[in-house]
Amino acid sequence: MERPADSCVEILERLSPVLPAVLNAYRVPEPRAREIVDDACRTLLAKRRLRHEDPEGWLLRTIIESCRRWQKEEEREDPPE
Amino acid sequence: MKIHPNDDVLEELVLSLDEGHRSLLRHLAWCGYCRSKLHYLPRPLPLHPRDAIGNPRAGSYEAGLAESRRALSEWEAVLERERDDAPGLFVELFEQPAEIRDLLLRDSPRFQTWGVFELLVERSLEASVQDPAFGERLGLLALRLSDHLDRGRYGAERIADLRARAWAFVGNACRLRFDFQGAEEAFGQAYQQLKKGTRDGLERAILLDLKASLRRDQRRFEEALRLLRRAVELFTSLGERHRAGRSLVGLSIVFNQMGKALDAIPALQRAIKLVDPEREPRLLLCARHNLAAYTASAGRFLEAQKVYQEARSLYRSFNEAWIQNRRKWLKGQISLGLGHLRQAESLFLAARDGFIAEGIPYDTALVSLELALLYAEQGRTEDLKRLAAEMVPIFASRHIHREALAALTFFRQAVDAERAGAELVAKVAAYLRRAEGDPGLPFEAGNGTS
Repeated sequence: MERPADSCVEILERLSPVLPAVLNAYRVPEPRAREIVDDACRTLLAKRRLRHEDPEGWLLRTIIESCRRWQKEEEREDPPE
Repeated sequence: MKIHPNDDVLEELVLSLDEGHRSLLRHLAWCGYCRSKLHYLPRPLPLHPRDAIGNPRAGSYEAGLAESRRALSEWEAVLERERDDAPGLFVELFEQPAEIRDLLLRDSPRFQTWGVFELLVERSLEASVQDPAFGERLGLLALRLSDHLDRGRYGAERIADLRARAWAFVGNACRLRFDFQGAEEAFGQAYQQLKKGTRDGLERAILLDLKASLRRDQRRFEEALRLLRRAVELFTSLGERHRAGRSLVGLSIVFNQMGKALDAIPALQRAIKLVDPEREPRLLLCARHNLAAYTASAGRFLEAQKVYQEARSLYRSFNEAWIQNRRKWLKGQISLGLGHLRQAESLFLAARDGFIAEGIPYDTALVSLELALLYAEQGRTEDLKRLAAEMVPIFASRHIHREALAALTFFRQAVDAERAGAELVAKVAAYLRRAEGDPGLPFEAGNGTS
């Protein structure tokens, strides 16, 4: 029998100990961090029927990629001296 | 590092590690979650000018994350409701004539939901297996619906991702009904949508895997292999073991069609370890069956028998004639290779009768020729003639291409003239096997080969 998939909230909950460190590592400001996390979670929710085998890994990777993109954009606008 | 490390470098690394670190390395090899953490570990960072004016500290994110969890919970419930309602709306939609359907999708907000969009896309792929034209219609309907979805509510990039998938499924449906030009155009659209999407590697890998099937059917094998290898790499990096296994099965089919069954074997062995038997038991059966068949075709009959025996319980779970006839055919080939001629003959006959009953002329012809080879090798001319006479229904079929019919006619005439020796039968059989995926392959009656 197919096991029921964890809810996205549970997945996000499991990542909660790691996420502040990730966001802090990229020095993402709090409001932008919230947008990044919300967006990644909404994308995961929209794709739940793809039955990700590793939804936590997918979510973490997506958040990290968004942080990296944000950092690159920031550096383009405000390059470090 | 810009290039893949060679074996020596990797070996040196592994040998330099103690057991604990080797175990950690093995864990990293399969755990996408832990691998993704390597993007930000180790943590020490260069000082950024922003630090001087206050760097957000980890603790300050907690409140935002808690708020995200609350909002997410509400949105999850909304999408669940939409998904629950979608099958009913789907039925309602298809109770209407086509023109009303379009109007409903355009004007009725009840239908303009993620749930309906997603269901139409999924059904497009599922339906294409039995009825590609219907699958294509469903995909196009999903795309028309997506024009009316609320971008603010669902997110323009997420809609683009699902539109990319819908176009890929339309492309797949076109391929299945041999409209390769239509398939090319649909895959082109899919790539365009992917560029507007969330840059999700999983969507890209799904697209690559489907496009590889088009390249395979177009006999552009090297391109098909390249796409499938990239798909396997992406799926593996995302922790999608089952999907990686599926692409490896696809890779093995391409190798086999290229006449490289030996290259197909390791791909299948790898696939069998990755495919989830609970998620798609039919795919696992397909992988095990093909592994036994390719191993047998390489002349490794004892090994093929072992693989076949390992698949027996799976065969029992699928009692469909289509599968059982192929099982008998394969078992006949293995029996023949192991020298059990009587058993092989009765299995080939059973498979052939099954294919005739099912109305599958090409497989009937293929298994009949294997039986013919067995008779020819034993000098059983009368049995050969009877077999050739029983092949008459194949000639009446519209599903056998012209060149294959020429080969079969050549075989029949040779049997009638008692000129059909084992070598001739083997050549016609080899031609038919090669021509199965290549209807344009010419048959040259002069020597019975192409």
